[in-house]
Amino acid sequence: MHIPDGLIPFPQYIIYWLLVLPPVYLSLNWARQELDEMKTPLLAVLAAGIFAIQAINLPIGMGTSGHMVGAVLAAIILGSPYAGLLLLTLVLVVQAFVFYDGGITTLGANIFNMGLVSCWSGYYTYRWLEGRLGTVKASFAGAWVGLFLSAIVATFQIYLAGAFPLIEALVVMGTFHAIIGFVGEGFITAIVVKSIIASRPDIMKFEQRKPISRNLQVLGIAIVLILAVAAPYIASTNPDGLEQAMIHLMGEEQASNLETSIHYSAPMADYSIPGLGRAGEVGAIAIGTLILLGMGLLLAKFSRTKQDIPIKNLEEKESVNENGWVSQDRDWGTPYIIETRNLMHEYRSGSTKALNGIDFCVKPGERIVLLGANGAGKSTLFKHLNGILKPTSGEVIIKGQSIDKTNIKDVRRTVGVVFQDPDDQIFSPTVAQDVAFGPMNLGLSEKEIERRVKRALEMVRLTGYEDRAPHHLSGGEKKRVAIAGILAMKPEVLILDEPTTGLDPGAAARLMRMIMEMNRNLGITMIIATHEVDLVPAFAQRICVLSTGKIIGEGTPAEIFSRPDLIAKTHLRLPLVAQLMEQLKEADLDVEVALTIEGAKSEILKALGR
Amino acid sequence: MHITLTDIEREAYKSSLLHNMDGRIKIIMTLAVIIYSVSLPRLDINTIERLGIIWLYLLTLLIVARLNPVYAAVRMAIALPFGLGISVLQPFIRQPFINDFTVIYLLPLGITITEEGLLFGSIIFSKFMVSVTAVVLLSSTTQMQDMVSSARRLGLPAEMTLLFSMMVRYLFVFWGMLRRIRTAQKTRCFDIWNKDVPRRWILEQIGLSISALFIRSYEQGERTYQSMLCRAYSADSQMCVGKKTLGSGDYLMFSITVVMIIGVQIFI
Repeated sequence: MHIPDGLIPFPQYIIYWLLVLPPVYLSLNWARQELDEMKTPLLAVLAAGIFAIQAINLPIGMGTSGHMVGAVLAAIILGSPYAGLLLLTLVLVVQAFVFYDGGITTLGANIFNMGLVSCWSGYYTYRWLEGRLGTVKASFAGAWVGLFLSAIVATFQIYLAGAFPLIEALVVMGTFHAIIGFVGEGFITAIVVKSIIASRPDIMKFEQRKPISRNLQVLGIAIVLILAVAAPYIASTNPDGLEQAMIHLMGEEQASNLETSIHYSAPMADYSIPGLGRAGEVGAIAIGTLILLGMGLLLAKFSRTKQDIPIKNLEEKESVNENGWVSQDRDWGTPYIIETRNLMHEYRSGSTKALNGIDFCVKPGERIVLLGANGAGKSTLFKHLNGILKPTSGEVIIKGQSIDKTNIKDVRRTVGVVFQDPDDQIFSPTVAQDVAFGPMNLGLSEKEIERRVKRALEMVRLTGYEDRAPHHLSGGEKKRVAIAGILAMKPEVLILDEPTTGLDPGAAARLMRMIMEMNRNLGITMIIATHEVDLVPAFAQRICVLSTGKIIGEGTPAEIFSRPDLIAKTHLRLPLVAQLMEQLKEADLDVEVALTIEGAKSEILKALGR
Repeated sequence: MHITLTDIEREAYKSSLLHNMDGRIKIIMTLAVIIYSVSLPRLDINTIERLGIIWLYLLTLLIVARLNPVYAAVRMAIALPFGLGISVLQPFIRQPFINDFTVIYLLPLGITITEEGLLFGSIIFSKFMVSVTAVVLLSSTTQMQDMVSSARRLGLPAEMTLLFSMMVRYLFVFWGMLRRIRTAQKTRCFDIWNKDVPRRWILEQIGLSISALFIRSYEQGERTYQSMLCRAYSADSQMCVGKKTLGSGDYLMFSITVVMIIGVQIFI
C-alpha cells in the first residue's frame, strides 16, 4: 500500500503533505505532554520493533504473502492514535529514505493513509467494541477496519492521480486488503494483543483510558444505520460530488462514457443489481451487509479461545520406537552419521572465509567438543550441519546423503541445534506450546505431539512446567526448555552451542550431567561448543580445535591439553585441575598431569603413598 | 538474492567522493532530483528525455560512489514491482484526465492500447526509476546515523531527531533478533508454506513470534531507559549532533546537480 514517487502529481501530493503536517505536529505535542520521559525511548524502541515486524511476510493464500502495517497495534498498545501516527511516521520516513518502500514526495499520502486513517479508524473501532467483544476480538476488528479503510483511501488517491479506474480499483484493492486485513493484520494483531495481556498486562494500561461516552456510541450506531438503510434511496439517482465534478470538468457525454467504460466489470455497480430497480439497490446493500456479517461470524469463530488446535487428516509420518531412541538401521554406506568434505563458507558481508576447508567426521553415539575462540567458525559449522547455511563449496553429508532440498526435513529431524541464547529459540507463550513447535512442523498427530512434549519435558526434568510462561523461568530452566524443544523432534544428533553460558556452576554441572545421560542411555550423538574447559575432560571423548575457519587439532582431551600451542590459539586455558597438577609437578611432587578431579585425586593419593 | 540492512550498511561504510560528502547536501540533492522529476508534465514526450538524462547522471554518481553494481541493480529491482505494475496497466485503461485517446492496437475482448496511455505509463515508470535510483544512491552512500544528524542540522524537531536516532540504533538490534528467531525456527522445520500443518497454526506462530519481538523490544526499552537515567537523562534531553561546516566538494557537487537540473529544463 506504499504509494511510490511519480504516481501522484505535484499539487495533489502537496495537499496530502499539508493534511498530515498538523496531525503529526499534534502527535509530537501529544508526545511532549502525555509521554513521560520513560515512554519516549519506549516509543523509539517500538518503532524499531514495528519496522522489524513489517519485514515478516505472512502467507495470505494462493501462493501470495504480505506484511503487517502495525499502526493500529501500536495505537492499541500505547493507548492513543497519536502514538500510532507518530510511530508510523518514523517507520515510513526510514522506509522511504533507506529502502524506497514508498516514495518521498508521496510520504505525505502514505502517512495520511497508514498513519492517520488507519490509526484513527482502527483505534476508535477497537475502543468502541472493546467493552462488547472483549479486548482481543475488538483489536481484531480495529486492525481490520484500519487496514481496509486506508487501502480504500489509497485507491481514491491513485484514482485522482489518473492511474486507476475507480470501481475496478476499489473492487480489487478492497477485496485484496479485506483478505489481508482478515488473515494477516486482524488475526496477528489479536494474537499479539492476547499474548501481551497474558505476559505483560502492565504494558497496556487500560485503567488510564477514558471510556467513549454513551451518547457518542449511540450517535455512531445511528449514523451507520441511517446510512445503511437510506443509502439506496439517497444515492441511487443523482450523481455524487465526484461525478458532478467529472461532468463539470469533462462534459456530460465524456463523463457518461467514462462511467460506462469503467463500470462494465463491477457486478453490483452503483450499489445495485441490474434489472431490479429500487429492489436491486436494497438487495445490493443487503448482500454487502451479509458479506460483512459473515466476516464478523468468522471473526468470532477464529477468536474463540481453544486449548487445542485441530489437526485435520494428518497421518503419523513416522513409526515411534518405544524402546530405542536412535534408529538401529545404519546402512548408510559410511561409518559416520555426519561428515563434511572440504567445507567452505564465506558470508556475503565479509571478505574472510568463515569456514576454510573443514573435514569433520562424527560417528554415531560420539561425544565431541569443539574448542575455538570467538569468531573461529563454530556457530557457522553448526548451521551447516543442520542445513541452515549452504556451503560456498564442499559438501555436508548426513547419514550418507548430501544435504539438498529433498532431504532437508529429514536432516533437521536427525540433527537438532540448541542455540546459545534460549530466547532466540523460545517464543511461544507457554513451555508446552514451545516444545510442541518442532513436532507440529513435522506434521505429527496431536496424540503423538502430546506424548513427545511429555517425554521431552521429563527428560529435561521440567514436568509440571507445561503451562508456565518462558519469561518466568530462570536461565537454566530456559536452557532446558530449549533442549526439550529439540528433543521433542527425536534427533539422533544434538548440537549445543555454548550450553553453559550464563549458568551458575551448579546449573552448568547439572546440565552437563543431563546431556551425558542422554548420550549414554539413549545413544544420542552429542556435539558441543563450549569455553568451559573445566567441564570438557569429563565430557568429551574427542576434541576438535577450530581456528579461523580451520580444524587445527583433533584428539582426546589428554592429547589436546598436552599441546599448549593449540590451547593458546583458542584463547582458552588448561582446566584448573590440570594447572594445579602442573604446579604440584613443578614443586617436585611425583604426579602425572590429570584432567579430571577423580584422576587428580588418585594421582595425589598415590604420590602421598596412600 | 535479497537485500538486508546489513548489505545497505556495508555499502554505506565504503569511502568515496559521495560517501564523504555532507549528509545535508545529499538529502537536499535527493529531494531536489525527486521533486523536479515528479513535477514534470505527465503527458509530454520531452519528459522522458529529461528523466533519461537525470537517470544517466544518477548512474554516473553510482559509479563514482563505487557501489557494487549487483547490489544497486537488485535494490532497484526490489523497489520497482508496484510501480512497474501500475505503469504496465496504463496503456490498457482510459485515464480520467485525458479527453481524446488514439488507439494503437485493438486486442481481443475489446481491450485497447492507446498512445496516450502508453506515454503516461512510460513517464510514470521513468519517474519511478529516477526516484528509486536517487534513494538507492542516498541510502547507500550515507550511514543511517549520519542521515539522522543531517536531518537535525536541517531543522528537524529535536524530539523527532532523538526518536529517530534511537530507532535507528534499535533497528539493527531487532534486525539481529528477528534473524536469530527465524533461524532457530528454521532448525525446527518451520516453513510458512508447510502443507502438513494447518494454515491457522502457522499464522499463530508468526503472531507469537511478533509478540515475542514486541515484548522484547518493550523490555529492551525499559532497560535502555534505566541506563539513560544513570547518565542523567530527562524529558528535556536532546541529541548532541555538533556543528559541521560544508567543504568545497559539497558546494561543487550541489552546484553540479542544480546546474544539471536547470540545464535539463531549459535545453530539452
